[in-house]
Amino acid sequence: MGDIGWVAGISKKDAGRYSRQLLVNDFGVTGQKNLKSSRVLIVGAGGLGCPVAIYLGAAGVGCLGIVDYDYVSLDNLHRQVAYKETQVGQSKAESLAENIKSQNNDVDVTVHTVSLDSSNAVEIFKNYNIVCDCTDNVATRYLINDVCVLLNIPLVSGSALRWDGQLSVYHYGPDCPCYRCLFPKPPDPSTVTNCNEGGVLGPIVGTIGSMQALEVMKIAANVTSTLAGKLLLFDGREGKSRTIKLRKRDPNCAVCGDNPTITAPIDYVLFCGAGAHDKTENLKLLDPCDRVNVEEYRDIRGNQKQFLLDTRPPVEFEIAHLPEAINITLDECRSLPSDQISSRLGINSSVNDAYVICHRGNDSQRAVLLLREKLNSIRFRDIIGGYEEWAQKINDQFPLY
Amino acid sequence: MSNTIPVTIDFSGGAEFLVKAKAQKVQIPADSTLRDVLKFVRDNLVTDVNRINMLLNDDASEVAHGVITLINDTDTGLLSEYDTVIEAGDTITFVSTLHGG
Repeated sequence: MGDIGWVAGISKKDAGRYSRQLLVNDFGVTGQKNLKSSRVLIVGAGGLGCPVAIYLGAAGVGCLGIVDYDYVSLDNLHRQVAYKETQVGQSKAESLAENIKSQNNDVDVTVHTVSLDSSNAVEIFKNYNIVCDCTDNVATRYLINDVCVLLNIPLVSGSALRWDGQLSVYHYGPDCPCYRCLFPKPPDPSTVTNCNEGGVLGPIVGTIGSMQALEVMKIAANVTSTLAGKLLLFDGREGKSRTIKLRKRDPNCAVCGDNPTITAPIDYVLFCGAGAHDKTENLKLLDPCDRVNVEEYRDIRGNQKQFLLDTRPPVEFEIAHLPEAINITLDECRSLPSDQISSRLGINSSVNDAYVICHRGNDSQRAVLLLREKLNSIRFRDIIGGYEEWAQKINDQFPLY
Repeated sequence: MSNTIPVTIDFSGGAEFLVKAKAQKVQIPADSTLRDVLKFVRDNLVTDVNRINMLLNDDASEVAHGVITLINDTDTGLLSEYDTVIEAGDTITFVSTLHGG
């Protein structure tokens, strides 16, 4: 029993805990030690942020930061699988931190319960050496990109919608493009669909978020085959994924180019023409006299059966609708000739009034504008706030989504 | 019939809602460039003309902001961009970028 010397690359505790990933070629002890000394910031504690945080915490990242100002809601739980029912109503960032700590108490977790913007991003980001974009809106994606370039931090960016996911690593290596090299100008806000409107399946964000965590581990371990300069497209419906080669860094890029014009964060809400969140805006397209509130409509329909046009997509109509509602989508309001619209609604020339409803009261206003042109003998009015308002004020049993 | 070549045009990330099918095999005029393909898509494939601004700009001279074009899974930014000449059998992909998470 005289032999008491050995050479260890890693502590006994860590060797035991992380043994299965220590055994993986090209990761090994060096990868584990690098991961332990990494400081990773996760922006957005939603469907992507949950798996990123849980996997990186479990893998033994030294320090994890989580940025999110939002609270856990019931309609998050199908995809934001790190949260429990008991955490509904609580801070996402704090709940996620608690869940990471209960899984691996060695991880140092810092919570930033703020809405990330130009005034606070640099101060937060400078404490980290890898950033994960797990956000849900265009304005924040540009902000994160620019701050990562300004502070020279690699960015692991994931996104998802419906059945599809996308993943890339930006600003990692001299030839690697940044988000702005690919998209110098933001999309027209009217063409952007978010998860609130388009929906998303849990395993889609789960897949992309898990792969984001993997990219972080590869960057930390200095594995060269990252998704830098590539874009992974995942089509969950077809079960297909492909990785495409992206253009190189643009020397004329406004932020990472040779003569950058952006040297500090700009006003991203102004730049994108859209807010730094994925909440739906409340439009006001109609005069107040062309709108009724839910209480008024309750009284009107109580007196007499009304003609009610429901502009939501069929999948939403199927969830629940008022019994008198006829489903004619906003697209159909645009494309169908007037006689087809009136016959589907079942109206004849003696009808003077009809109402339009949708999920939240935006599309119904757009539809009124279209229907006015097509059927000008009928006074169309929209129901302010749509079914969401109906469920809040008239019938709390109406299924909301 | 004038000289045409077979190509596949496919749509990903939401652009597929504007057309009949996610991937379509079509004949386009020989010697077409990517720029010609944009006009071909506008004139022949887009069925939801009201939302065409999700995919193309007003005169179909460029794709909308937030859309990437690929030829055989390579970003056309690595090729000759809109001047890239399309060859028989090529797959041209329109990728709308996603922002949800």
